[in-house]
Amino acid sequence: MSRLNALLVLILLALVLFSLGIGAVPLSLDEVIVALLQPATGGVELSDPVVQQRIIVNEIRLPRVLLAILVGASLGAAGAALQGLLRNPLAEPGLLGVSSSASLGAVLCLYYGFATLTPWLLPAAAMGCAALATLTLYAITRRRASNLTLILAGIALSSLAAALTSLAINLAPNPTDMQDIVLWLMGSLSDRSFADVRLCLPFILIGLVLLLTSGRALDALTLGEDEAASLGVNLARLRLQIVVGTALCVGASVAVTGAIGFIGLVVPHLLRRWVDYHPARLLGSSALGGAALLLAADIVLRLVSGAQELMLGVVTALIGAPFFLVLVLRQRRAAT
Amino acid sequence: MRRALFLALLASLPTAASDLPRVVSTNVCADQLALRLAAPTQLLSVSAQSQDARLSSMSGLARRYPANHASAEEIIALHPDLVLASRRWLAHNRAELLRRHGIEVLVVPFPTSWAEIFASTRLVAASLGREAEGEALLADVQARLSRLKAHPRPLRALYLRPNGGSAGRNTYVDTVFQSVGLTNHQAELGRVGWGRFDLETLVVSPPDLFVSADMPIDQGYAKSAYARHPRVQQLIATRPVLQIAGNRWGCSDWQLIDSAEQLAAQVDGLALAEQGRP
Repeated sequence: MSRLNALLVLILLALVLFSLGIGAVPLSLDEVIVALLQPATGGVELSDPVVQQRIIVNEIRLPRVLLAILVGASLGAAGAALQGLLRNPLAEPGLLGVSSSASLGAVLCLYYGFATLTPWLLPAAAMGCAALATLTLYAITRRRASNLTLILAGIALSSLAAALTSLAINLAPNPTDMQDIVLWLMGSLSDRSFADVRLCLPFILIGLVLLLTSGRALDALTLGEDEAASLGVNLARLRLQIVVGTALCVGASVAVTGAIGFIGLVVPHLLRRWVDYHPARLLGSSALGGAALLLAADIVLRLVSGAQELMLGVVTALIGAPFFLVLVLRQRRAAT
Repeated sequence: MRRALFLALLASLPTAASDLPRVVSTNVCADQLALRLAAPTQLLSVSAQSQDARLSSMSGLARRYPANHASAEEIIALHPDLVLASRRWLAHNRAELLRRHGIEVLVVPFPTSWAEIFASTRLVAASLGREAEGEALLADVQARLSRLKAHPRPLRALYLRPNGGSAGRNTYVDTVFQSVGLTNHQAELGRVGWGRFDLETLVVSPPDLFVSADMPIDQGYAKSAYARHPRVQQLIATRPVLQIAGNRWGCSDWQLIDSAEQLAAQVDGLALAEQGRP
């Protein structure tokens, strides 16, 4: 493990402990650790204060922390992999419309009642739509399109997904679902349980494996497509691997937390210089960094929120949007 | 000033049915008061929403009147003397438009306490020229309130929606709880207004009983993550959950007494079941 990854793991561990320590009920670090080591079981008596502490730590705070790590790692790795595949620093699931397409899938599934058949349809619909969006983008970039074309195509895709989402709100059987759908689109980790973790964990793990194992091929791809092919990289397989990996990661994340943007953009950019611009090393570091950044964003919003909790997607966008602006301005300065 | 003049004018008129101001009500909550207080001949139209049984507790009565969709055109065509509106409806310039045509607009307040409910009922009754009906209604409510208060019900109750939303002090839910004699768990923790009841706090200090209302807006999947949490389900399964049925309390008007009596009957039912247990 490189020194950077070791540092990121340490930061992540510190954030995990800190995140487990904050909540409506004040608990000391000792109490948190003791509770973590002794999880409560099944239908226990809730009136015992020790049992209450265990439940708060293990069943209310821990799922939230785990989801932040899974979703953050997903978004970070997907961002790094897309940037490597498209050889474009602006590629990011949120910006390119992959996240909004996944949201569209989830929203359609929720509002037309498919989610009641089985909860697994929800991540399936989100992942299906995310895969469609990634494939479309990929088809566009295969024709040697410029960065500008790619970004414009991404904007078109996310506008289309947003419009279709609005249409779904418009035609929803119950007009008061609008508030629900809007909250969903803002992204949140509050009140999640292990049921939500179980719902996204298998897909995110498979997706992460697919993305993280694409590193060596992405390194070869930095030389150009023809050169990579001559080095023995099966380009068609690589593309499929990253499209499926991104769809699994982003789709499953969106299905449990709603849309959370900019993590996939910010993290690879922050870390790129520390991995000497190697796409392969960037993948693992971005996954760790994404987890740390999303967890940090969640901690910030819980610390500053009053009675009404802020939405996580709003906080990441508040961090990400100015960062994106600076990035664009700096690139322009470098170009002139 | 204008309204005061108008009310003074109304008071000086004899209250024969033909002389009562002709009224259009444009909002589901204003409709409730209009339907209850107005003479059948003076009410020209009610809002379309109050004919919907899912939204209004007086939908049957409301269907006897023509519906309106709160547009200025419909109102001008009906040409009433008075329009009852909610706070949200009618931006300032639309109200101005109606006033230019000699149509008075009364914004029905949204009260939270009994004092405010009595005041707004009297306000609407007076502007309809139906003070006597207003006073009769309030006397009935007052008598039923005194009957409820005669019997204390010292339990900690928590109003909880599937998204974790609850009601603290200065809400109509709190008003109902107080009338029933229940302690509002959320208000007891010092919270005012509408807010969330935190999941962790719920585990540490659960209430004696839950109160929930079946509202159509609570069905959403994204909004019910709180209620799906296994510990919330365990707490709900081990404590009584009292349902407030119907749409009687959303408008926070005199019908809160119905909700309060419904709730009190359920609480008394629990006490009886408790005594019956060996």
